[in-house]
Amino acid sequence: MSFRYEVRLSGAGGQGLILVGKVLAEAAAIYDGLNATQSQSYGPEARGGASRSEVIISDGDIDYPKAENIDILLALTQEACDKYIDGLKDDGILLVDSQMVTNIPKGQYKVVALPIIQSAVERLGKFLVSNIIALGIITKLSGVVSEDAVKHAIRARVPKGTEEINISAFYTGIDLASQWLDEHGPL
Amino acid sequence: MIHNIDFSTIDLFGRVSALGNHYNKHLYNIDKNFDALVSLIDAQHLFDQFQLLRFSSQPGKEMKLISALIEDRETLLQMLGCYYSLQFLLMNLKALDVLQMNLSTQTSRYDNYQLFLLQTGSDFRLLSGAYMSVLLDLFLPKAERPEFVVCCVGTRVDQDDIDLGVIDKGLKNRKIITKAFGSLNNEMLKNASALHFHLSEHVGRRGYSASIQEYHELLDNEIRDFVILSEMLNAVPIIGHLKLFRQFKGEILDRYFYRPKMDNKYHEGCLRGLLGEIRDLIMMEAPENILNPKRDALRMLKASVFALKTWKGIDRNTTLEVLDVLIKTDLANYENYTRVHQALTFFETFRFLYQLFVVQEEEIYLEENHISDNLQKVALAMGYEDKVFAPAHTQLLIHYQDHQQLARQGVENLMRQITRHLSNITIFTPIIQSFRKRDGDQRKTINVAVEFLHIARFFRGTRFWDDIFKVLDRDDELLDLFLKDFSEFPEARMKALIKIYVRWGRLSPYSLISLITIISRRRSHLIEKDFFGAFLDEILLQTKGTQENISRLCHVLNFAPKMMNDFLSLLNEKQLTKLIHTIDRPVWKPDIINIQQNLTTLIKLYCGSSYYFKRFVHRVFNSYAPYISSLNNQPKFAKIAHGLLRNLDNFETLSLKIEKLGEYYDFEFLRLGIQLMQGTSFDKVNKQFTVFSDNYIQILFDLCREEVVREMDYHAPETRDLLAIFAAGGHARSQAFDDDYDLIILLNSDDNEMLGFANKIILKMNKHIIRRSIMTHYRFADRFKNYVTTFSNLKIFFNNPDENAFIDMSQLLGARMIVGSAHFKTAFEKEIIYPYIFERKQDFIRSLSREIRSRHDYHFDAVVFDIKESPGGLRDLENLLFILKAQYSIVEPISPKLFKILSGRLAAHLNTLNDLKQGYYFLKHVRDLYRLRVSDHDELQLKYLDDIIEPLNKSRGTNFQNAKELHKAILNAMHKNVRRFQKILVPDNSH
Repeated sequence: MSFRYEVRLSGAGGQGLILVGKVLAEAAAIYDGLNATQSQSYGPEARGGASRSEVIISDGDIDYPKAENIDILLALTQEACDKYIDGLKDDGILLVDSQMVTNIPKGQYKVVALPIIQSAVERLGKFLVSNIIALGIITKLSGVVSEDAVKHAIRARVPKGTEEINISAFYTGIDLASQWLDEHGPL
Repeated sequence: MIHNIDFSTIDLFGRVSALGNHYNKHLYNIDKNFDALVSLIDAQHLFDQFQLLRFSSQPGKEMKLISALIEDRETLLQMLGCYYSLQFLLMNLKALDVLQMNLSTQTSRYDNYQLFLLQTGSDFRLLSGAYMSVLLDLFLPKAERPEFVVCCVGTRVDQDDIDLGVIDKGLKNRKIITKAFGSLNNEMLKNASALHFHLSEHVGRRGYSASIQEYHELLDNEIRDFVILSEMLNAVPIIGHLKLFRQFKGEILDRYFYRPKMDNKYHEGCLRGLLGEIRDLIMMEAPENILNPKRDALRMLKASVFALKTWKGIDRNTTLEVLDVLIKTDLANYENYTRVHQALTFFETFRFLYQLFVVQEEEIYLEENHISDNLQKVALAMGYEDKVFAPAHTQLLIHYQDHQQLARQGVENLMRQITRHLSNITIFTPIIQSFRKRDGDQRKTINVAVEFLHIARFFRGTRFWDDIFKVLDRDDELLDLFLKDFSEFPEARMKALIKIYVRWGRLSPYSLISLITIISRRRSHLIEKDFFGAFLDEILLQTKGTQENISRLCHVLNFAPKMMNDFLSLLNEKQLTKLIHTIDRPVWKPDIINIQQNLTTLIKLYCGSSYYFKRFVHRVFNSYAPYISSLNNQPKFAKIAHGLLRNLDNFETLSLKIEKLGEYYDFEFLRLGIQLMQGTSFDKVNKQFTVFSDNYIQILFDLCREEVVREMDYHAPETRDLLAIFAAGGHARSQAFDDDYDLIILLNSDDNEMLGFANKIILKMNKHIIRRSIMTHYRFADRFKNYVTTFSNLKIFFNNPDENAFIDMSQLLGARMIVGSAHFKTAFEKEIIYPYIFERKQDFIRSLSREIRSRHDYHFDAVVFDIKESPGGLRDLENLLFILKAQYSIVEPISPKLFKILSGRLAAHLNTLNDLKQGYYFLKHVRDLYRLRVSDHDELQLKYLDDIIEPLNKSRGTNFQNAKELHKAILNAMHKNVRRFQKILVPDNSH
């Protein structure tokens, strides 16, 4: 039986979540040989409000493009968390930026709160790469795509000259997630 | 070389390597599969049927040939993907080459950009359409294909994704269609551009498509998401059944176009959505370090053209095509359309090339390390060249800013016209008329406030209500109907209704704040009512401190600073405190940070200021709202103040000059008040305050004099050495932030004509000073029944003094001349000060000493104490200084200079004098801060002293931890002052 893994990336416009969605989808479809779809919010809510990008990954046909049973939800702002929490599975993962999201909505899901933006600024000196740090965390926590595939996809998506810092950001995310798993045990 | 295809002849790999990393996937595809593809073609001797070294004019035909060659689906998909990748690269290289050639001609740059965009868009649609068509044939063979139509709904030239809308006949065959589009989507993601099905994400159930019936169900009763409308109305059928598209157009799309003399509520909804988006975009301040062509210009440009398309009924697809029609048919707006055209072609080309050469992202961070190299590629492709004065990318960035302005100008002008059209067609107009005609029964059943909300429900998802608010603003009867019906509800229902209104405007605080400020401006008596307070409370309750809400409020401040200033002035301390908690938190958006800081400072100004100072805050920003953007930039604020002063000469009429002079006074008062509250040195603030308030009086005198002269029908008398204005009281002592102005107007003449002339000037001055919320007191005016006091008046009085004459003498002794000549000053000292005060000092000193002693008989109040009148307070200190001035015949007003002079005369009490000086300025500092932050009363209350500790500590380097500590220090200072007086006064009195 084929698997279907749904990822919802949410935050505010300008946080680079569309790029993360594209990278994740291409990592799965081009480099890992899986099927993937990626969609993003276009509506008024994305224009000045919370925005989202969704990726569905499967080893079979994806015959329904909308994410409804989300396996992992990334929320980089409180408003995005409140708005897009619906649809997260009971045993799904809620990944939040620990500084930006302080009110965790009640639910059965597993909560992973990590200093994503702070790590981007403090470890890499760039707020801009927080999206790629989040991608590293998602890669590690979900295990749905290979690290190599994501690395290839990052290199094939980011601007020339920024490849290395983005790869460093990706590994920062992997480290943060590994550390969390060491401290809290497997999800 | 791969077989007989030699890519080196066109330098394919070399040229593609100059493009963005995202093109690597196409090279990866070619690298992986091209040899196999060429072998297949070669084996079938079909080379002459293919164009593999230049962009094919028949990609569909060639892809079909490939399909016919391969049976294995997986292999076929790989070969088709490889072919697409190759053609895609060739297409883009061709586009770049043609653009370069065209830009080398004399033709207009904008025309070349337009040509480039149209041709590349057309090529891209040809290629991607062919690829999708061939793939669909594979995933859903024509024989099995149910009825559906695929429409492109996005911008034709965009390559980062392809927006599609698929219309089907309903759920019956949806599963088949969805399965096919799922496979199509996956192939497109791998080899071409990701497909986005925004429409079917919002319309219809379970699938990539939706039926006309489902569009009806979603959109018949509400406007909802106007972005859906924009996409729908952009739809161009590319694959499938045209008949179905025509039906869709007839039933769904056409109703959003303007239809004269018919129901236009769908068109109205469409316009409200588009205008709301334009306004939201115009409200934003573009950050200096991030470019985003969509946010900075493209969205507003397209939305405005789109609105015009539906208004004027233009049946064209791309924005540029619609614009072409408008330019030719609506000549009255030729200039606006030209602006829009230039900006649109510039930004579309810029965005396209940036995404081609750099990355398929919207945000461009200018502080990134490699941004100059990347932008240089874009600039060169757009026809810029390195010049001696600036490299190509710098010129491009400057033009980017210029075109942003161009876009805004064009769009704002068009927006006004679209708004006028909206107000002509709105369904609210007949409804408003019916409100007025309500008879007795209807009056009971129709509640205007509820009805508004009820009608507005259809427009849910839109955010533009300016036209309706404009009607409310100018239509007294309607406003009264609305407010009366609102406030007459029982409390619980009223609050429930308020909650709905606020929820309705939650995502658009601009609308809510507009409404609330209209009500407060037009019906100020309602501000004190429960209804109004409940409205404000609910707005603040529903405005959570999220990044998005902070951004929205910042945008309101940026776009409508005056309105935000009005709104803040309506909030009470509790509401302001809540708003500070909402706003004052970390934000990550660079474009918001500065505005957020200004907004926070402004709210804190309202929250942390006395009622007295708040009046200045509101008044200044009411006149100069844009300066709020410099609130945290004190040097710039100071420059603005200088500009306001120097600009007075540029106004033509005297009345305008006087009005602007008053605004200058208010501005400086505010500026220095903020400085003091932020902990700037007390001395520095007092000095600057004295300079500007003296400037004010001097210029006001000149202007009022000129006005009086103009009004006179005879030659004005010369007053230069005969008339003077002295500041008495606090202003004489260079004391800032007094709420009253003690003035002494002296005339060294008994000429009645001159007296009348001087009185007229002062009368005029008085009228203007009072407008600054400052009460003027004219010393001697009561005594001599005239604003102006003559030397003769003083001489007669001092020759026959009453028991309170020492008070008048101390006023004169403490006075500081602001307007008047050196000759006048000499005459004043010689004729008044020396003979009547210095030469009779014993009486004067005795009276003042008695006054001080009687004050010392009072008892301190532990909680409330008067910093001015209590023993050891400011009054005592000033009286002591008068005594010393008289004692040593010193005319210098109370100032640091006076203390310096006194220290030369009181060598034996040097330390005591220094301590007194310190104590005096400490109390003055406390009193000034209290005045700005708490109240203009001199009776300080212990519980409010906390409010002044922070700036006091910052400025004086003290470390008061709480109000009690500060209170203790003030009392100590006053007690010590009393002891210091005794030290200084007793020996002197003994003489």
